Amino acid sequence: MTITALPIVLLAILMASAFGKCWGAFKTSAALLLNWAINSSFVSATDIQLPWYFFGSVDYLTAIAILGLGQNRCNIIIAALYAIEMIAHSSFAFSSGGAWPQYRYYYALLFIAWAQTLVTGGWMLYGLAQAWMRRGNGVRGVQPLSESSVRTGLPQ
Amino acid sequence: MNAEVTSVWSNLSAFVPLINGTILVGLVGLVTKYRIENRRLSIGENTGLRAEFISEMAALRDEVKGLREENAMLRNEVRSLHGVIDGLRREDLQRAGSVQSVMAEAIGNPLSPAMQQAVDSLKRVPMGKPTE
Repeated sequence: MTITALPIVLLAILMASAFGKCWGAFKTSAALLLNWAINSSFVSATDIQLPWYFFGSVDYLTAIAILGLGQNRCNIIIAALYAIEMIAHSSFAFSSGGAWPQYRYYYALLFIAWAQTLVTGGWMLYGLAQAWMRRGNGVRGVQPLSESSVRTGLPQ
Repeated sequence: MNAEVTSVWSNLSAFVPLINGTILVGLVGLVTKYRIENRRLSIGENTGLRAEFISEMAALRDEVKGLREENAMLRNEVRSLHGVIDGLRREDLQRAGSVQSVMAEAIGNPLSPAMQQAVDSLKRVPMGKPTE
């Protein structure tokens, strides 16, 4: 459960939700992946390990965007997790910035990110299960009835 | 002085995520409230629709019961009419039978003496050669 595995899992969720046509989970996982990409890019570019102000702003905007994407249960849970994350950002900002606050801040962000990923993954799995259950209800393999078959009642 | 201003500013800026978090909590609460309200409304609507459906089904059931009773009455009426028709046919046949028996009796009886005499006299008249 490291921070490096997170984008891989998010990417897998993104692809699987696109495969299962679960577009809600697709959009939310895309937003989470974008959030991770922006934050990681900032850390790489500036070499500041825990820029709480940047993380806080990007997380806030991502939460608003996710709530705007759809007001379903999973998006609400993810936005609520972002609201909890805001407490972590603020707490770190109020702290002296030593090793112990950095450690706690890092793990708070990590666990919240994984919780959000798990929620999105569960949503994607639910979408896949629904798609799997719907698979037999289509008209695949059913031939259209010709005029004579309508008359005789037998498929031609 | 500058250090103090920076310190105050950093302390104030530390509140920003908290404010953002509060806004998020408010938004989440609002959305949840609307979702609950929406669900309640849909449940109420479904309950109304269900009640309407049940009453409609009861009315249809009553109608079907009435139609069945009417059907049974019509069947009984048709049965009695068939009986009447059968009776009429039977009477007709009986009447025809009696006429036939009367005719047969009339044909089978010997002729009356007067009629027999008339027939005999007719037999005596020479027939075959034309009269001059």
